[in-house]
Amino acid sequence: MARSKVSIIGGGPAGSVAALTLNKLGHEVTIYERSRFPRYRIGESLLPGTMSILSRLGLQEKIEAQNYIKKPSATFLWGQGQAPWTFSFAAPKVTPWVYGHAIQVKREEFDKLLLDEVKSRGITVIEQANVTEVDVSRTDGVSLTALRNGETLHHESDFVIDAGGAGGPLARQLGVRRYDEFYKNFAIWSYFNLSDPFSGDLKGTTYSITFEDGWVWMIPIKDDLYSVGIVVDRDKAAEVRKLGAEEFYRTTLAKCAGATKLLAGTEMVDEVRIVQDWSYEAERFSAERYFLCGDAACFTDPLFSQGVHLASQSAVCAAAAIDRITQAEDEQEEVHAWYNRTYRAAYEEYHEFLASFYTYASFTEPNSEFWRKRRITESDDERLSRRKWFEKLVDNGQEGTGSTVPNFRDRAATMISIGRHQRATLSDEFSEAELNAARVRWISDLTNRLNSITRLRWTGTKALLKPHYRVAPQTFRLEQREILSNQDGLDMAQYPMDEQTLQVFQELVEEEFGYRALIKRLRSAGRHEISSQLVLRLMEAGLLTGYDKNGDQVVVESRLHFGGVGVEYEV
Amino acid sequence: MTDRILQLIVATIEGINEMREENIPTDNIFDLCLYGDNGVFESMYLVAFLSQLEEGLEDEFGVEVSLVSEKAVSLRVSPFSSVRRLIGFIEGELHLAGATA
Repeated sequence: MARSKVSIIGGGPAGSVAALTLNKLGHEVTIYERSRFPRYRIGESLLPGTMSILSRLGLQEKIEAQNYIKKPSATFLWGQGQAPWTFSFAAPKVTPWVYGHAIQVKREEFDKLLLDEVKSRGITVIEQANVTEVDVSRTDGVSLTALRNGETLHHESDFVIDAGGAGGPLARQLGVRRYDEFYKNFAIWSYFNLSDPFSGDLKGTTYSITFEDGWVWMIPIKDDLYSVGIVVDRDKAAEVRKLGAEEFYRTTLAKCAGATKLLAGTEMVDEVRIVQDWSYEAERFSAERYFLCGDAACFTDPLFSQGVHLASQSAVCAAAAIDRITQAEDEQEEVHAWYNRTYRAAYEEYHEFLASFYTYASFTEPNSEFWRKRRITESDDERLSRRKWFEKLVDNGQEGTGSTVPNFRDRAATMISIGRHQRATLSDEFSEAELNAARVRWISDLTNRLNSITRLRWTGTKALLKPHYRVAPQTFRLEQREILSNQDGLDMAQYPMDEQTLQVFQELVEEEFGYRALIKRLRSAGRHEISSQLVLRLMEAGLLTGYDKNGDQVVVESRLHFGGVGVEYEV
Repeated sequence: MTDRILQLIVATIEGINEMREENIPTDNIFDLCLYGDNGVFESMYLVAFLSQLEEGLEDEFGVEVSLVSEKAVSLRVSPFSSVRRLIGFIEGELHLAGATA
């Protein structure tokens, strides 16, 4: 019987990144992969955060040698009569591992590159091995059974990571998967021989284009090859059965004027593929001896290209968690709580942003049934009943503070207004520099709002430090850190804290003061660059509330980024 | 006046550099782009930088200067496109406020 410290199911990005991280941390790993690589996969557009992780795992040179298409941004044609807008990934390099771009890849090539790297580092990879059973009932280890060429393989390990994608055997076996009631969509896609239609700052971008039946992605993945996919309502499945996949794809795509304009004169060069079960998540992502990573744990609408990023982020976190539990077994419960919280927060952040963009499009595609069904207007929307972010939104409405259900679309509207092009259609004339004026105006508005806060109120009676974990960006060790909290456990986990910073907030509890005074004290505590960010994150977490000189609450919309882009990476 | 403003900007940047993995270069300070293409600050970090600088200016010159006024954001070339332009903008505002060199 084979044995290793950790067995990993699946050799895609989640499995490979978990294996590379565990290997870096000094643990023996075996990967069981159902297919033989290269094998086809959808999900071709990456985020800068993934580049960062892979770079820190030592793959930068190999990735650069592939000459993948550089993705500087994502561009949206988000509604009828709306000017295009671009979400740029450009970011200052505040740390060596911050990336200002991502890449577009053929997944069969990219995934093989990762798995080849795994093999080259001496990690055992057993391909064409279909895992049929995973026994996680024991407290001292895990047993795994796989079938390979008619032979039954048994494997013993201390831990198992299910990185087996949507078909992850452990995730299914545990029965913890819950399907999403809000994003009841499916995707259908193919490939076109299209050279990048634009040069300049649009070159390499991903296009997302709304139309009456849903939205279309257009991703330049290699040379003159574009991935073109349609996300539509699950109700359309009957039409697919009636027309056949290809006819449905062609007729539906023809309805999207923005896409057909870009595709004029091109040919479809591959088969049409479909994926169902479009959005789901596991009730828990880890416990005792197992971890679910990537699509085995959760998946949601791909509008923000977050799939591979969530896979690689969760893989790093799972590997760091296993390493930590190995060093300190008595921390097992706390480490699992951290993994579940961190991963769910990352997933929920995308879920919330997506819902905001869907709600926004329901106003800019007013005659569309698809978009109308995806508008969030009611605080008792049962489709979102399990969502923490929605509970918070509803609570805010009741308290009359901050973001509320009726103005939920404003979150997307802010981001869209900052990225809006200066001309009505896509054009080579577009330059990222033209977005700067709107960004500076937004920064100005935010700074003025913050400056108007003459009184900051701490929620609760005490400011405390409480233990938390954080993955060290270069070693990938899970390190104990302290975060700021109140006496009821309400906390802000994004930034580790120290006694000096705690002192500042203890002073705030004792004697309320304004934003400028807080910034000054945070600077004295050595929090120069992130002082404003700290205040905003604490407001977002509900630990701080700001009031102006008239006693009115100052509400700030402070989020221009979501996970995997910008300068703050979770791992 | 220019030197005093420059010193304030450099001191603010050096304070930030103490906490940064990748230091903001100060050797060619006048041409340093603060925000935009090749800018050294991400949007939220610029907010913190401006708050600190406004406070420093008030301490140094005894007058309130807004670096995020409508005038600042309406300029054809942003005052944050280089330290030189930021100094020029601040000097103009200080003159209007009656600050002495």
